Amino acid sequence: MALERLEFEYTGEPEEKRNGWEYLHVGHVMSGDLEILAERLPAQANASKIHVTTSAVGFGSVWQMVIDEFMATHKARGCEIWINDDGATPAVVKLRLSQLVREMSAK
Amino acid sequence: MESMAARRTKRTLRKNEFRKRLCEAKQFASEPGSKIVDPADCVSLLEAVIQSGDRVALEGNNQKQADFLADCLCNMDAKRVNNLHMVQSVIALPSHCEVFERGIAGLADFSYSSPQSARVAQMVSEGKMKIGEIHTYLELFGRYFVDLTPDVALVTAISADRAGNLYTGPNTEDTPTIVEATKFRQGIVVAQVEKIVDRLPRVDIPGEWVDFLVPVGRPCYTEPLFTRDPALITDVHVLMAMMVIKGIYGEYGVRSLNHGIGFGTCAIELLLPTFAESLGLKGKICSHWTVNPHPSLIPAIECGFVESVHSFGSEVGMEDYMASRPDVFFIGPDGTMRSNRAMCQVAGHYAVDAFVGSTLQVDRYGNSSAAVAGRIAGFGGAPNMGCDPPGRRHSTPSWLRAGRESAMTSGLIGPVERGRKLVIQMVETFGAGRVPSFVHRLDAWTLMEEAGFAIPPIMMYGDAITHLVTEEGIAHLLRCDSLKQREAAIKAVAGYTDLGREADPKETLELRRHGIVQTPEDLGIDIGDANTSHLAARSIRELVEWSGGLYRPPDRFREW
Repeated sequence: MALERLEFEYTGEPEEKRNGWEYLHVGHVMSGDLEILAERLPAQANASKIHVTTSAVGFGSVWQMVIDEFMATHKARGCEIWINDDGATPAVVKLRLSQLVREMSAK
Repeated sequence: MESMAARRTKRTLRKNEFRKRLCEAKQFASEPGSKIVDPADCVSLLEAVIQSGDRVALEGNNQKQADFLADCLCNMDAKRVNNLHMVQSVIALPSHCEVFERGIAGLADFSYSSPQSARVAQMVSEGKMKIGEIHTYLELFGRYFVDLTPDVALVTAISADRAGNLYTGPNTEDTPTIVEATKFRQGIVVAQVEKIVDRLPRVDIPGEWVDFLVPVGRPCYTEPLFTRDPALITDVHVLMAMMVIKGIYGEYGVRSLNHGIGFGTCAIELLLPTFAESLGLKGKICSHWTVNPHPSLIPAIECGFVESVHSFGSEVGMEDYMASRPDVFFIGPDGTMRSNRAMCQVAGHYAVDAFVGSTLQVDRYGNSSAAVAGRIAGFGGAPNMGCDPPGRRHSTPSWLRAGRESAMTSGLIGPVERGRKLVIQMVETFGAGRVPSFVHRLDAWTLMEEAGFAIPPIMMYGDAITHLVTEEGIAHLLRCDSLKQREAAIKAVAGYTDLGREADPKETLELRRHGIVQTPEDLGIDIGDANTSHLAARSIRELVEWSGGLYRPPDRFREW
């Protein structure tokens, strides 16, 4: 199966107070869904890197829009995020990212 | 003016014609004077009672099918009987198509053909099937009593007695309508039954309306069409269901309703005992239903949310559970449920506050269609539920509130108050395989050109839709005061589809400020909290547990 890899990077001050989490995982890889893994970077880091591996080739511009919009609302900075996608719709991507943010602030 | 003689001839012709056929067919009775025909003689029986060019109502419902009679119809000699005009609700079984492939039938007037949609389209393009019109159920039933009255009806029931009385059981469905239309214009009624008994649990069809009985020794084919496995509900369905419950049902006080088939509505049903209850909505919403007995309604019924359910048909495995709740379902003196498609369609059209459906495609005007190029699927009952009936005259709080909010209806009636049914479409912005649900041009237009229809097969016209719900939010289309504003509201919830990308962020913000568009955030719903753990049941097995073991799902839904 052909896979496409996409990279996104955002900088800026982390807005959320630094909670105790180190690693987070939401979702699962299955048809129409995705998993997100997040790792907290050292305290001084104020950038976030997002790596997307997707089975749906050719949707780079939609990923860009969905993630841009998400990062504009939620200041998830200072972490590295891996998204493993098996053809999730933008709705599912947004929902899983929202679940990640909820986990981030809960821990 | 016709001469007296001509009138007399006309008057007696039809009656005599059928009397002649009945006499001819009597030779196939298992014994003289009996209505019972051996299954082995059924093809000969049909060749005797059906003549070329006849209108034949072959009972094809959503659930039960007169499958044995359909097979016999296919096995008739096409040289002897051909050119039949089939008038039936649903084209569901391969045999429903086979009768056209074999040149026995030529013309079809029907409502729904989704299970055979690709084959119907193919037969039309090959000239094997001509379509008269595609109807909603109520329209077709209406025409049974106007210009499409069947000459012969081939129906199905669970059992019969020797007098011909039929017991249909919970899946009464279309049988009373078909038989009444046929018999009262002197037509011929043939029923397949599982068995002949001495005493029926109850009489659903009077024996004198039934001419022949074919005991086939097995139940007819029945499809569990409305069973949705809760395990397949996604977090996105839960999010959209939460929005409908909080932003529409709770807001308008929706008491009576119809739910279409789909996982979004299934999620709503399973969130009633949990999310809706937590909002204090028990006793305020979703008390009276016109729906098939969805297994996913069991938790809401057991929690006391539901006061009544009337159904179009039954659902496989729900029989014992329904029998245990005569306070909710329509149960006969014999203790079993009776459904009725015509009555339930009337109820769903006139007597409910809200309809919720789902669709495959929506255009910028809110017109929606499930039509796909290369497939002719028909309409079923959705357009009758999914519209505001202009003939409605009784009021309910939800109906009045929706009427007051409707910004565009006063244009032709002046300052007169009138209510409105809520018609809600739940649609994810992208469907399976990331196919966008919001489109510039509906596939219905392509299908119209391919199949030679007069108009595109639109399931729900935009002016009928009061609310469009996507994962992005609710568009309260009824609150819009112009087509332009409706377009903007539709685009505002169309997400990252091409149509959604045309939305002007400033205009969207303005629509949100006016309560025309509401995002989950505007409704106080945390997207990150939308997940399937809120569902009252997350598997078929849990539904069985809720029912106290009375719901008996078909094997294909059992994983234990």
